[in-house]
Amino acid sequence: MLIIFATPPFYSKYVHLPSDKVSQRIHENPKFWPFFKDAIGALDGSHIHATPPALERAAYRDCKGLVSQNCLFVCDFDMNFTYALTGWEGSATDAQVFKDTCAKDLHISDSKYFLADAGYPSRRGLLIPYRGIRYHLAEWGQASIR
Amino acid sequence: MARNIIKRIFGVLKHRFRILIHAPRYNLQIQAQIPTTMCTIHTFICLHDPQEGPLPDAGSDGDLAEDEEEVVAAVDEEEAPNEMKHLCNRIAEDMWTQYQQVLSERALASNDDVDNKDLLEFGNGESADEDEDMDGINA
Repeated sequence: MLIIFATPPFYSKYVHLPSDKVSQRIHENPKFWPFFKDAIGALDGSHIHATPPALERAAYRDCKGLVSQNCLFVCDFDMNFTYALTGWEGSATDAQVFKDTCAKDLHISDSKYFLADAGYPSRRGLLIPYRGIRYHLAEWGQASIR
Repeated sequence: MARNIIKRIFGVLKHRFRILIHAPRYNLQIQAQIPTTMCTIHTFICLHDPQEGPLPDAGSDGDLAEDEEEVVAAVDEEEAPNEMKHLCNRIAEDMWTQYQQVLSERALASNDDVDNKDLLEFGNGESADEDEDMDGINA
């Protein structure tokens, strides 16, 4: 049953990378348009609980002390998954998983990119925030007043 | 803001499919396929049953909240990182110009001079800071 869902053609029919068209949500929001016109989705990793055999448990121990597998997901701006890579040990870092993804089957076309967080390396196809800089100073100030 | 969509979608997925939290004792091959399967089913549901909606009671359980501290990647940067840095800087500059425009328009539109002066001064001060930051990154 799992294999039916997790392999083509069912998997590839519903989970596939987005086309290069600009997302409606980016287009509608004046804060995002035209700055993020080349963004085709967001990319991040998540830990999902796992129960490996005792011998391998050490490798599956993650930074929060749980036993888990590290999964990398990509979604578009309409809350649909467009890519998933699962099964990495919980001790693997996000950047490691991403490297593996690139080696396998995540092909990002030139000039397009995903939004990712600071855990990922800066390289072609990934847009990460500036390191060590506080964002939205004005907005934060207002938030504390509220 | 645009990036938090992926954090939200994790919450939705884990909330919708409790199997992801309870970690059944199958062998590892099968366990690795579970999240992939759930992604597929999630997308399937979103496409064919919009009534169900992308957010089944979007409330986040305490143990689901993704409050992880971001670990800075300890990986050498490679493959034309400069290109992405340039892009990043360009986007930041474009946004800054637009923000300045908005500020000056606001200043024109409003009669209250004092407030606007404060705003503009604040803006200029921040601009200098940002330039410094960018220099630091480019260096």
